Amino acid sequence: MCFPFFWMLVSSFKPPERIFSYPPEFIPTDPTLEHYADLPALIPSLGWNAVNSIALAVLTPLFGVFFSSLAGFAFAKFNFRGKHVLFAVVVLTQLIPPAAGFIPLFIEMINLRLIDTLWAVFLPGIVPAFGIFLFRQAIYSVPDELLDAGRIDGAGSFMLYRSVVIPLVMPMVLTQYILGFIGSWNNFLWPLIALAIAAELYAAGRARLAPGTAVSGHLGAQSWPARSCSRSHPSSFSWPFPNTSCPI
Amino acid sequence: MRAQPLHKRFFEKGTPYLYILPFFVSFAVFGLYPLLYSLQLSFSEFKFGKPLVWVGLKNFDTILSDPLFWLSLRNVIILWVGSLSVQLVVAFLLAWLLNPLASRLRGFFSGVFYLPVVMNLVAIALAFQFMFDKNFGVINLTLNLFGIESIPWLTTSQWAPISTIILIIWKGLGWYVVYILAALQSVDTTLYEAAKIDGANTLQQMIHVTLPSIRPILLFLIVLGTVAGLQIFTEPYLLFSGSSTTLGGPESSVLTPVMYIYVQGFQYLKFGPGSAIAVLLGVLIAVFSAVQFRLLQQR
Repeated sequence: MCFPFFWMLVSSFKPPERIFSYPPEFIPTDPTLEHYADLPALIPSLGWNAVNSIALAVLTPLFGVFFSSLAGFAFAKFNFRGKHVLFAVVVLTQLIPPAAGFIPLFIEMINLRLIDTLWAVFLPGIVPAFGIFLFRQAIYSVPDELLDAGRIDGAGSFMLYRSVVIPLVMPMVLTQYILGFIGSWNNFLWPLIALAIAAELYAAGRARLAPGTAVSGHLGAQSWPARSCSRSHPSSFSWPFPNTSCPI
Repeated sequence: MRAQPLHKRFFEKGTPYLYILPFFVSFAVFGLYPLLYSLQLSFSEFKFGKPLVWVGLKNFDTILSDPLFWLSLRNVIILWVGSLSVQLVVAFLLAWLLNPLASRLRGFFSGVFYLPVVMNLVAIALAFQFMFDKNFGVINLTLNLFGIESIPWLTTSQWAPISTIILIIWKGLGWYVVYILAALQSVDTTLYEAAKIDGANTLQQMIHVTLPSIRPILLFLIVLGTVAGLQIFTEPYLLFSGSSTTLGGPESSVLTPVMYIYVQGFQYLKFGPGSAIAVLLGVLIAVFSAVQFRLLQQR
């Protein structure tokens, strides 16, 4: 189970000619750090890429936990018209394949001028339906008597949420945060489309504007909208790492 | 029925709606609207900066007569069934073995199995690509040490789906282990004692006590595994990135519908046909989930 991690780690310390040696070397005989030293030259944007990924992975679940716990609180402890229908909608949305919406979402993000910015990756993930489901289950088991006691002491519903509910469901808060962090950290296809592909298309559209350059493609440069975030892109397209360096 | 709790009368009527509003706004903007727009796009021709042109069923006609689309469906069914069935059986057996262990040991092992789930797939897939290499990969070199001939893991259409399934199983197994283990822990132990008194052996206990008790969680895992399995994209896409000249691995043997949406949409910029695949895939997933719910809720 752990072998791929081990092999990756071991190989990263081997000099190039030893990586593919036969028989395979499971313990490097003369370890080297040259691959690590070469990294900044090989992928100049690595630092920014890491900052982008970490910022998204830290912030997205922060909002996700807040909004989904608030909604879970409403579904668990309030009575209101349409509650059951609305909750069924929340559950059913999880069966919609995200990939089915990527083409229209891409066009939508262009129209909102958010494409090729971190907003395009951040915004769709801030209210996870699965989180609402889990928080509803957790908050259900918070005793009503505690809420009543808080209410008698004059607390408003948001105060109850903040000072009674959240401290009692802290394990779920942490679980949800970690799940959200992992999800955001491993998110691949949509960031690839919204950041890397978009940047490539912008570059193609711009090249078309320049006289004497022929770019094959279906894009009319004149119709490609103005950049929402001005900065120059590296001329080489550093797949698979989004080369967006735009701060949120 | 629960009695109406005292505090509920105090809350203003609008408050719960305010609390659930963020989800519904976000769903409307980034979920429902794209879905409806996708439906419209699938019946239209799209060009940047021009209004949509209604073309009727032309996009569906293009897609349904495209052999690559049918191939992608066949591929994804192989990848989904091949990985999910093995994952469920192996995860169940592992969880069965881990269940009686002391809690610290159990925690350690489920941590080990869960590690690949949380690891970044890009790094994992590149490591597997590296290990699966025909001439220099550690797997073939190790096989050679035992006198077994090198296997063309990534270069033939026979082996490409198998290597992809291995990667998917390895990556996702821990997720299934953790859920099944949690379910096993909540099985009523008096049931086992009753079965023992009736003279049931271990296998009989597994079939007649354990499996029926964890049926709800198995249903949940199968439905989610199917929804995810029909959308497989990242594993085959990354495993064959750079190493294969054709689309989706050797002879397109691991081209999946989502990969084909991506290719049609974002490489050829054919948003109409791309959306038609998306609509067909969405319908397929809805049908599969509904059928599974029906089949597994009966009995």
